[in-house]
Amino acid sequence: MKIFILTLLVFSFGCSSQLSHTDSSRDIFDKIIHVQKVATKDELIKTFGQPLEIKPEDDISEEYAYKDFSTSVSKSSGKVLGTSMPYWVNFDAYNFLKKRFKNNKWIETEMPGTTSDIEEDKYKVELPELGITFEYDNQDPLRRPMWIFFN
Amino acid sequence: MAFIFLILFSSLAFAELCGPHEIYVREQWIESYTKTDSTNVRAHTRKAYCRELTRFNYYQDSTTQTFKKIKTNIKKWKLEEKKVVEEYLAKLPQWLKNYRLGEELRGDVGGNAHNPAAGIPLTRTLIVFDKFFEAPNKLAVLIHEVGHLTILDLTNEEMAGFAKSSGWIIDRKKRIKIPPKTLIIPDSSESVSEDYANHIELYYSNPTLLKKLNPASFSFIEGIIKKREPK
Repeated sequence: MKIFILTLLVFSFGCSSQLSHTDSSRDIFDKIIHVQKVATKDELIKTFGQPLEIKPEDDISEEYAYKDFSTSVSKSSGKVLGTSMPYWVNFDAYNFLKKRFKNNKWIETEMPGTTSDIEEDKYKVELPELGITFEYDNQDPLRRPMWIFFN
Repeated sequence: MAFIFLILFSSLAFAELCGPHEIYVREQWIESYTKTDSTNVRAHTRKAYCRELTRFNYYQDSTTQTFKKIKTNIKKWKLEEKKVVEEYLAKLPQWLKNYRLGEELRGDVGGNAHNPAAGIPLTRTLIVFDKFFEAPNKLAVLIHEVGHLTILDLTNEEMAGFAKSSGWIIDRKKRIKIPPKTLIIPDSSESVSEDYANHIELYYSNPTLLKKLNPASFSFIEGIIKKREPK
């Protein structure tokens, strides 16, 4: 039991030191939303550290790729232009996100289907106060967004 | 503090996906009710769980399911039609065969010219349309439809890695997914899920063509399949 608790403790501190450079009580959503609000490359690096990779994106921006998400940064001004996070998780994502953002305005709109050979029941979710948007399919048992967008 | 946080969220973070023969039943809010023996049950949350499909590959002539997007009339199976479907289901690669189907239904029209069948992911249902029986690519059609179910079991890294290898571009400024420039089958542009099912299908029906069209996605899909094929 002691070994189990010790392992959990070591693991939990390991996780928090990886994810949090500033405040361990904030989760990844809080941190990305904060960076989006400040919207500078400096704040992105201050919050998450150096990216794993910086890749050219198009004429105006570069992709700052982190383990769990990627952010587009303007080449000329260093302004943060948007962030995407893949969220193909192994739990009911909709249920989790709905509880996680229960205090925020949650707008849900039904979307037309895109595929003719599979039943779809797609919705777009917008959290305007936080600049978050994602889509999910109610036919996916875990109701996961493939990507969550922040901008 | 970190320890308490971990304990609280450990069941969430490390929850396992259901097996290919199970259906995920979502968390549900149960209103208070009185049992037949007069016991009062308080309102409560019933946790999510995996329910085993005890009845599978089950041919039905009608269904209680309603479909939002698929417009078809469900009709009775003919004995010879069941035999054809059985014959091709038996030819599925083993890892796809493990995906048990809850119901198999017979619809008149639906799907598209390339795929005269349809899948219902939530209930693991396969609908076979009239044109399936004329199709020269019956095995490919079934691989494609079961392939749609398998995307649900990818990890986050596999899903994002597949999309990247196939050429999907995530435009963070416009908040959209842009389909690959080179499509392995034209309807791959409809969604990542359709593109993925097309990859699984083409990997088996014409691997040389898939490798030629997109060597990166060929390697990626081969890696996914090899991980799941029984040793």
